[in-house]
Amino acid sequence: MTEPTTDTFATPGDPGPPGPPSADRLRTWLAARVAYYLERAVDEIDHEAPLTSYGLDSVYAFSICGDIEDAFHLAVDPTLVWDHDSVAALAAHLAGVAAAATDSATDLGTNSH
Amino acid sequence: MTTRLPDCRGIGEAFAERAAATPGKPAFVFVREPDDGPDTILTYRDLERRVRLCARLLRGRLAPGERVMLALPTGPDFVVAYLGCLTAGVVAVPVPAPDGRREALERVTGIARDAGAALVLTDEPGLEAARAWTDEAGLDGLACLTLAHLDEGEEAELGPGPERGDLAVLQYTSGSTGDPKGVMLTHGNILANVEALRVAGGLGPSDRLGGWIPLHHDMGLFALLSNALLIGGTCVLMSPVAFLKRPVEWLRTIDRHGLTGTAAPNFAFDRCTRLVTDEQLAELDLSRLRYMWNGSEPIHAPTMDAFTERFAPCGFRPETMSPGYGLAEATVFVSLRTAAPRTRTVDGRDVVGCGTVAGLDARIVDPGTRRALPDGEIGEIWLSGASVGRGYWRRPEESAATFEAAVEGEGGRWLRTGDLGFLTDDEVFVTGRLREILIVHGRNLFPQDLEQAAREAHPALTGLVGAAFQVPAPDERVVLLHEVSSRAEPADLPGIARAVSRRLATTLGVPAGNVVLVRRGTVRRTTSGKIRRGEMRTRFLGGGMAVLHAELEPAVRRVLERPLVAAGES
Repeated sequence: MTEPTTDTFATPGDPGPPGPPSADRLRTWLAARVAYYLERAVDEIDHEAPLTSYGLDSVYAFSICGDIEDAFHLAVDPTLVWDHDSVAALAAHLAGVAAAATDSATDLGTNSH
Repeated sequence: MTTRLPDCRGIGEAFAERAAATPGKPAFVFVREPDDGPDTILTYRDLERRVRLCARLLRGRLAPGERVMLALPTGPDFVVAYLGCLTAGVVAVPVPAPDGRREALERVTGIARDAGAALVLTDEPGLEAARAWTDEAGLDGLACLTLAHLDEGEEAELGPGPERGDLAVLQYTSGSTGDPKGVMLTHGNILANVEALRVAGGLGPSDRLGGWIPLHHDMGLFALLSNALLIGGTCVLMSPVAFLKRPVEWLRTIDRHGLTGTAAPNFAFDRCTRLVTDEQLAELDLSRLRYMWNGSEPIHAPTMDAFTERFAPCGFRPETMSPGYGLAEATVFVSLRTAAPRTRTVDGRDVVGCGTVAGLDARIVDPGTRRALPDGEIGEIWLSGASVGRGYWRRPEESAATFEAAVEGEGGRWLRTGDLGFLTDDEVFVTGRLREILIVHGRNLFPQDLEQAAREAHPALTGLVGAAFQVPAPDERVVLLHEVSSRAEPADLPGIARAVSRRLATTLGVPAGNVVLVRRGTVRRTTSGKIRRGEMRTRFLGGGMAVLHAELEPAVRRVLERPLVAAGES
């Protein structure tokens, strides 16, 4: 049994260089966050698997949204995590939102509450 | 000088009296998220005026004693609506504002029907959804209303308000989705409960109580809001979402608003310990906080200790960590430990002391023989006193069984809490639950609802049985064990398990990272068909259980005495 490397990801981590993040970078970053919340090793997270199938509950869906807002300055609604329910799908969606936001210099993310 | 709470006639009157004593003082502060503009501050004068207008609006539409659903997010409108109902003499029924999830809508629909609600109070953003919901659910005649035009109303004398014995709130925290049960709380119950917490916590008008617990939850509504306002203090609340996104915001609110008391379930303490960074911690001052009530779900001693240690540099004192005990059937508050926490070891597990039972009598009773047990012995916790509710709404038989139990050879009229524990040195220790309720993030859930949702997740589970239970790992984790059709291909089993987790997360919001698929006939039942969940839990924890497939969280895997084995292997 691999112990989860929780300490490494205790904080949202380095979102990387400025500019819109690529889907690849978002994937790595998201997988690390998900692994941290689930107390699993990063390599245990299948990027294509539905997050809910790992038992990721609504409370952590909120936490992930908070992390996304803090790391990438994208306002997201927690329902996003259900609509794009895997690391890969969520990363692809966010990369699109980030690119659009940069292009128009406005925030196209769905504003939460 | 204001009237002592136990002598007040009703909550509306008690609030109005306090408002008259300190009209300019902030009564309610709603903390906005950073991008959402300035905080909303209602002085006692502002709030009392709006409450009176709301009460007048309700009096114009409803007869005394009719039920009003408060389907509002935590915020100023909820506070006005709640006190407006209690001033007008109609019954407030707090519910989570429907968020569109099917299960949430079903639950609210069940509550509307059970309560026989006459009106739904919502807000402008929620009005359309509320109307769509009542139409779709066929709740004809259930009007939806907002408080948007309250200020256009005329101020007028209201006349006499409700009495202590009148119903104030139906609190629907008990009962499964299909069978909701509303605890009937009178004005007298709530006043007595506020008084008990006031005395136990040494609270007064200089206290500022608050946090992120939503107002449809009894801890938010009574322990924070009602307590703060009825002692003439200030209540400071933030949106639960703001906390869930960034747990540090709870602690920042405590610091910025100088809160002296707060409350939350155990998981919130764990979230803060894990997610608040060193940099965030360095800027926090928690030294003005006098109590931090840890309650409404099982308290995990190491979580408490880790929090206290982590936040000691912010001025957080060991005695500020206040494990407490409470339940909706007794309004909310039963006991709170105000000295530094202490534990007793039971079956190798540290059980946390929850302080002295306040304002109520407590007995530990053998649930089988109904005889009172001596100090130190574990039995069911029974309570009696002024803050115990009147019963479950429109359920005379269940009310009699739960609220009017007699101790063998002693009699009396006792509330059976369904919680197990013991008393020692006048302190209550809660060890577990007699009933099979699961508690997830402070929400009570019925295993039947989880098992039903699991069964709907995949055709390979149709017609078979499952058992949902929690295991300490060491904080409580949900395990869903279910029989699977013998026709299911081994290669499909992981997909079936994932479908179950997904279903539980999306329909019930329950984290179920532990799904165990077993052969038909594995789940034990009584001769009457009742699922033996406790026995399945013991067998699961003992290890060595023969399973077809198991998805387990590492923390749960670690607490099994022996690993699970593949069914078919000898």
